Amino acid sequence: MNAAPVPPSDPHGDSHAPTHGDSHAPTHGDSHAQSRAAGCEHSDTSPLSIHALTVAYQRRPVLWDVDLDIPSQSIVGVIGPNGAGKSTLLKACLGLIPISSGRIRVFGKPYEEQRALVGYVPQRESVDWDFPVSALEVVMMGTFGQLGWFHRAGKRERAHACEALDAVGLADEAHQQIGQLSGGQQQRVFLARALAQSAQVYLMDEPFASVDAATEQAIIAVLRRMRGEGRTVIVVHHDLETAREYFDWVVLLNTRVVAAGPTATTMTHERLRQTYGGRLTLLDEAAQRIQKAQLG
Amino acid sequence: MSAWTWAVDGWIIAIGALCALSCAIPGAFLVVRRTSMLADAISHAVLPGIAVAFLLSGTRDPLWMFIGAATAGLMVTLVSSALTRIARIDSGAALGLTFTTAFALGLILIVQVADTVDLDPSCVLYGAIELAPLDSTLIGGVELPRAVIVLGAVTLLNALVALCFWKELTLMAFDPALAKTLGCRPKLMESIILGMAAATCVAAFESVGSILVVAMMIIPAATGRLFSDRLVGVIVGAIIIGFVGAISGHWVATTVAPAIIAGGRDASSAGSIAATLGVLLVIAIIIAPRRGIVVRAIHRWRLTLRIAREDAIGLLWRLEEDHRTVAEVELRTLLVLGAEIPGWLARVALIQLARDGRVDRSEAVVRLTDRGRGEGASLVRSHRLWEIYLMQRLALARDHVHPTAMVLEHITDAAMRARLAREDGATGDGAQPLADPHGRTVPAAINPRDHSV
Repeated sequence: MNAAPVPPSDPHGDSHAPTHGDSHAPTHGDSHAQSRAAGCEHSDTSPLSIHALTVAYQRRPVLWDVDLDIPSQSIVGVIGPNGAGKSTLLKACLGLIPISSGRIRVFGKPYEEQRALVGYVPQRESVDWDFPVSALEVVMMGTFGQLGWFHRAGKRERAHACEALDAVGLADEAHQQIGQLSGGQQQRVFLARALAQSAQVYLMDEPFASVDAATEQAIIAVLRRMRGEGRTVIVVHHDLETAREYFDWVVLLNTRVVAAGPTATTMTHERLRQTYGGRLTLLDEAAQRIQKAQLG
Repeated sequence: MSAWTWAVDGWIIAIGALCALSCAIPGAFLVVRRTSMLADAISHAVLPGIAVAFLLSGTRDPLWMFIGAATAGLMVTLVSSALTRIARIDSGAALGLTFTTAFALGLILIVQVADTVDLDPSCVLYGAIELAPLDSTLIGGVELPRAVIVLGAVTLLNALVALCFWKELTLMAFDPALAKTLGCRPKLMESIILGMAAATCVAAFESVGSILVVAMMIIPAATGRLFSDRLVGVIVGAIIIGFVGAISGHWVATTVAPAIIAGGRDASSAGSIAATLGVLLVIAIIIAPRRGIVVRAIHRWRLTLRIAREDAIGLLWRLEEDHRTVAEVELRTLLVLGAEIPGWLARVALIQLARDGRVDRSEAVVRLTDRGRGEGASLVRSHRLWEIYLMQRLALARDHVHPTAMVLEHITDAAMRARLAREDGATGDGAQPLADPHGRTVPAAINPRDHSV
């Protein structure tokens, strides 16, 4: 099964309507010769294109042969059960964990060359909220990538960060130490930091995890605004109920990509059952044996 | 007890203060990253490091000592992370056992070579801050103790590094994953912090010894954290605490200690400085703003009093509703029984309410003033709205809603009451008053803000 989805038809965009992936003709061009040679159609224009990505932890695959072309100007949900490799997928794309094999392209170029175009919102639990820093200072960190070495954040960065905080409705909390904010506010600080980063593609790890309903609405409003500005947002998500409402496009993941495509046609009962149900038990067992043999 | 001579004591204090100054930046980063144990590891690794460097080079040249100590510090961190990976030993335990083993090796080496050369193990362990002013060099026509020059250089170096890489260092310390995606080289920054800590340990160990330098690095930063919620504040706090510790510690060693214990002999200055820093930390834990024990106790006490006052007003309002009046003694008894408020607290609460013009206790019975009556109505309104809400929305049993409402009423403001009333199904004009689960009427909104949402 090749789950590689279809790339968008119009990347640089005169038509700014979000691509909902209903054009099923892959874009071809001379520049694709290389990727065709590699045996798979991939787009230079996709904000994030993943080819044959495998990530293993002690020889046990966490992600296996993942092929994806994320459409531009869309909100994409990555959905799957616990341990499906959702966070791993994001971290692998960002070079935060070593990959076993595969290739990742951001607008057709390696991630290392395109860092500035890719924003990251880690899981809230990944940092120490007791750290002595204010909400505004955290948001300003988003601008550090554009500053370069030996340049200090100045008035421009501060104004930029204030704007971002205002956009998530936290202007009044700018000078609070981050530990004094509620969980939902902390999540919004992370979102504001991403806004301050001014990237084109955003990878967000569970931004809706344990936030109140008001925060969830505020976050989705910001994501839609980002899409309206032509950005692409990829969100790890665990709530199937809201997935249909929030995402233009979904990736159903369980170590492998079970399915990927427009939400309406992809999130079918049968595919969700495949994603959440039948684990490949035989492969699991084989992996366990490999691990045992290694350690013994 | 000896009188202070500034040529000696002044320098000792200056050296102690410079130790604190040089330790402030690496110390603050170690503390806020919760990796204070690394200071232990590095300072202990200094011993084998300089022992090996001494054996190889045959000199006490600070540069050789630094190279040896930095190498040993790096090896300790590498070996301990390898132990965690290969032998699956918990990272804290791995670090602890690596640096103690390295320290033991260093001790053996130092004692072996100490007989033949000028390297005193106890000086390495405890330092010789009292002797430091005697070992001086001429710099630009001014005679400066060598320790001042070395510590001053490290302080400048640390400040310079922190200024150059401030944003990368803070980003690495707070969120290494984002630092990596922004190209801020978190691994390199981590090495820079470790390098700063190692350089500072080497510079400081001659004066205060390899053990006390840990106190210098960690205690002022931990104290600074109690006083500030900003990294810069933590560093400034650490510097101030370090200075105060150096001055008062040396004063304790030369003035206080000989007067009470050591039979007239001065105590160890380095030891006294470290001990004083510990005392300062304890004082800070007690008096620090917001996080201090005293402030938190005052906060709790104020809250307890406010709840007692509100309970008293609420009770008086309910009594009025039933057309009952009570004497103060009876009112206090009712508060003790109904709201579980200690009798003395009820007494204090009533005195405060009378002082603020909320109740009138000048007559035989206690009455609400108009002001008190208004606040009582709002409180009872909150209480009853919550009871309705809890029964309707959470399906709590009728006899279970009262205790929860007793808690919630104290944190409910006008805006929240307005939302509650709407959720409970109150009509916009309030023409149809709501009834609580016990059949009581919810008092009408008196506060004008109750109507705005």
